[in-house]
Amino acid sequence: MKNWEDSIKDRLEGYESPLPEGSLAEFRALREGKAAAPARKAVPWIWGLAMAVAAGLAAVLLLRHPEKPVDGIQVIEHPTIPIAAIIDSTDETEPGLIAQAVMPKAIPPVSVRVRETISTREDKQEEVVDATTAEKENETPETTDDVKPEVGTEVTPVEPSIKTTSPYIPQDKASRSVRMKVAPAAGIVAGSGLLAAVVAPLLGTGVYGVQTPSGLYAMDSYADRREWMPYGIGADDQEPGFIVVSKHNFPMKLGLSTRIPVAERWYVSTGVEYSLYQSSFTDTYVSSSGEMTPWDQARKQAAQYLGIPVRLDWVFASGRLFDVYVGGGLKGDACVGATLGGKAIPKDGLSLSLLGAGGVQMNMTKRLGLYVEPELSWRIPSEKNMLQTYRSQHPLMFSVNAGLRINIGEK
Amino acid sequence: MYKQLDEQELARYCSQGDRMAEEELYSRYAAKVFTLCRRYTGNPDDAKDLMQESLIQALDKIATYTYCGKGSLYGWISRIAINRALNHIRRRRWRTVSLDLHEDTVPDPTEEEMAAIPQEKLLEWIAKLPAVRRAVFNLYCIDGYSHKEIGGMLGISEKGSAGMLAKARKQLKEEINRYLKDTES
Repeated sequence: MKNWEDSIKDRLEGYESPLPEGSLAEFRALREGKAAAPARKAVPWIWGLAMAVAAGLAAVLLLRHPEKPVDGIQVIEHPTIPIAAIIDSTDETEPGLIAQAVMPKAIPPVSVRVRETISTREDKQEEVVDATTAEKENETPETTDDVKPEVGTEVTPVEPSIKTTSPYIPQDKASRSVRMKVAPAAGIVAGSGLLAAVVAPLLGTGVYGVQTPSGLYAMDSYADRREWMPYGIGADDQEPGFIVVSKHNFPMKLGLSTRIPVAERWYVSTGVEYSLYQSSFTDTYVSSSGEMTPWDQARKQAAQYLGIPVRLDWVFASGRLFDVYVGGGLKGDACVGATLGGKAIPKDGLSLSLLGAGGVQMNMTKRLGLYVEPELSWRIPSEKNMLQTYRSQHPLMFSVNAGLRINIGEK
Repeated sequence: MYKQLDEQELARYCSQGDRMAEEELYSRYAAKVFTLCRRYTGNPDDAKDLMQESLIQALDKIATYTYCGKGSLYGWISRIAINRALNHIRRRRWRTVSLDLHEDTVPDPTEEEMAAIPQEKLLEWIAKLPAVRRAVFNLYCIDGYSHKEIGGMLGISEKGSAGMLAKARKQLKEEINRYLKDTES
């Protein structure tokens, strides 16, 4: 009795598949030398085009410099509450856009404390404090209904410098604008029809921050006042004041990835990745008893980035359905748009990150795969990055990416 | 006239540049070589290209062919095609550690069951095998090479060749059993 493999052999040895149409004509042409040898379709033209577009985009993102620096920033509505002087960030390592504590002029004890702290700072900051002090000396205190009753102090409203400044954006930094258009970038991604979503918010709701006169502090929880109370406002034995509470949501990402074999088990992964970083900033009043009251509606910030990751992956295990790999590389992110309270603000500068990732890819077809990859990335510090986002709070960030990948070449 | 030629005479005419003899050779062997190339590449487009290249190479070198019995001309052409197919696979494959389970608990199909399966189905399932497994299965089970020879041809160890064959067998048996179940129901 034959085994099943011998049966296959018998069935196929003498079997003749129908020849594709035009084979004989092609053969004749080849023998006559009229046609070139059949060309290998190693990389279909569409993949070549996609790679050219990606390379062009990379060149634009990485090499283009803004035509001229933008002086200052666009006007953002100042909070309408009668708040007083704006104090620059005290933390030189955290020069973010929420780098100003909003202090009510009506609360003198706070400003005394602030003055003491600030006296050791650089000249520019001293000038701000001096101006504040000068204003304070000239003003006539008067009661205002806007201040909480328990404060029990008189407040002199000060016209916020709406026309030229924002409490959220430092004035001494010229914005660098990378003129990447969202539409072409989105077209590249959407036009290919191969978008993938990362549902990272499942990992957590975000991170909070508090701006106090003595610096910017991260908080694990909005409600946990002990995190920032020691820094000068709101403690039982302290005076009341205003702080800016920020909340940075975990970023949302959309990506299109492609993987190209370069050697046995080694692949270059690249593509386009769109990231959306959302934050909200709330002016918050802190009473002498430490009670916090949001003073105004939260201002929502949305920063959109378009990034090109380039990674070298090593596939250490592979099956018909799954590939498992680790890899490392670089990613360039260009800010393609940023808004605060619905109004455009200057874009963040180009940022570069080092990446390390491991992942599993499920091969749906020969060319298409779904991947899930935990990624650890570290953003290289740069003065060009001014926006306060989840990323700025966590330069070393862990994320779980998932998406669709085009496989070029064969395993 | 050319249809009456035996392999030896046909090869002689071809070596003299007789276009009619060449077309006769083509009509006799093209479909078989195409089937062989489909078995190795798993892709009809690649198989067609390989078939054309193999037959042209055979005709270019037909002066070196030595007749050694009936069927030897096809054997000689098929070796050219197999070598070209293996080069094709070597160029495009990347070896990795397999994640698939090695244990083979799939029952063997019977001779009767195998006889009921169309050849095109068999080719389709072979085409689904990963490139190296497909090559090993074809070389060992259909074209009669040993694991030692296959190891040399593909640049893998004998043990590696046997492992690949086991995985290919398991995968094919799964396809066959699935097909048989579907046809029964």
